[in-house]
Amino acid sequence: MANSKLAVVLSKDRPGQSEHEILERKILGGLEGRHDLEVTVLPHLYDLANDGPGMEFLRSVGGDLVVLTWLYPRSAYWVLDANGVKGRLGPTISLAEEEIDVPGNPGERAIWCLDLRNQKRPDPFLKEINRIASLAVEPATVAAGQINGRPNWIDEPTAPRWYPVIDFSRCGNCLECLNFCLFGVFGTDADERPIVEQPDACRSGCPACSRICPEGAIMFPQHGDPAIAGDPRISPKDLKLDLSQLFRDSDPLQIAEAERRRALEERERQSRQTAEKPSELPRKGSLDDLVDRIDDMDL
Amino acid sequence: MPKPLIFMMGRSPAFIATDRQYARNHMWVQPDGAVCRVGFSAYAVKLLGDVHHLAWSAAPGRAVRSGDPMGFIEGSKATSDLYCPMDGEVAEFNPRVLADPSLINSNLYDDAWLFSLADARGPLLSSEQYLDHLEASWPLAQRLLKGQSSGRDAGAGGKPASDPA
Repeated sequence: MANSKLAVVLSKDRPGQSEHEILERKILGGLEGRHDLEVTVLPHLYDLANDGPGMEFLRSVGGDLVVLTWLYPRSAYWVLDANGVKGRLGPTISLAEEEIDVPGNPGERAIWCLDLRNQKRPDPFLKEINRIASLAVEPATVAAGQINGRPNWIDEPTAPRWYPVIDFSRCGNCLECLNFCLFGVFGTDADERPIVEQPDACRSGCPACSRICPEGAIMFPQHGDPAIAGDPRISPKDLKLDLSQLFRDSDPLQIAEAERRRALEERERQSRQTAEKPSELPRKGSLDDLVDRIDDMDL
Repeated sequence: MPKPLIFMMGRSPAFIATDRQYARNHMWVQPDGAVCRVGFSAYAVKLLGDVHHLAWSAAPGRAVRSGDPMGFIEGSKATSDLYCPMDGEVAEFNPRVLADPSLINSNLYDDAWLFSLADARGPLLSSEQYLDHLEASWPLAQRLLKGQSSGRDAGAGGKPASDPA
């Protein structure tokens, strides 16, 4: 059933940011009663499971999509892309001046990403949503949407995740990431492009692959350093390095490899802990799930 | 100053002064009366780009150990935490460099010394040993230097692009 409402998704921040919650509520308040919009509220975009109700909903949106997140537009766009939500990045007030080349093709529906960190008040976002709604947008065909002018809340339970996000507009296909990562996070698709095959195999806090990528195509949206989190103002050509390892130790071998080693040690420490406490299972990767399922089949 | 050694960073030469010693963390160390002055090697400065910000977190009179964090620096190409190259006691931070960090780019071996240490103790390298150290660690360092023309070749295991031999 097609309708001409614009799909607006507000993706909340992780719990614990009361100032952010206030802004979220004010924006939702400002959108209430709008019958030209389909408003949905989701947990933090980066923490959604690929096969969870949140991403399922996002994939169900056929037309233009407005997404408000606590991420750079570029980061939000590529997280969506990795989960099968495709389109062209619509030019919004959240885009930096430097973002002239936005990913996507002119014929595609637009994904308008708004970065909630950019403004402290709801008005600029509400104004921008009005502007987008007034453009000729493709009708949104959504599986679930507003009921009686109130937003639809998808309360998928989430925990903070950590995994790399690839910007395919920058990726040069060198496959250094696949080569470098010891944890099996990367794989390749049918076109031999690198993909994040096992995101949850990624060791929390380790951004080593982001530093290895010569094109600056890998981001960790929750990392403290804007260059690694996906700040578009930092061009891949002049990505600022963090030379701290070099200027502390002597040996540049420590750079990136130190991060990787620390992540490996942490994994080994956790496996030892698991061996001692069999009742407390660590988060399983998809491979572990597969093994368990085969075991359960009792072949 | 006697003729410096040259270390090629891609197609760009870094001049390594031979009249002083070096710590493995790319700082030079030179005695000056009772204290030792410490500055950046040309290698470090090339990696940083145009330096525009410098801040110290230690204070004069404080005892320091090799590897202690002391400050922070930012240039056009990189940022870094700064660490003490030796054990000793912080004597003085160079006020001229604090006032104008870009002095590091123009005068890295003399006027732009960073700080001085009293009672400095610890292993140091001669300029030749430091050059060996740079050469041995260059292939991997290249992989992390964005924007360097030979970076990708070395990282992918190919022969160095800048080697004419």
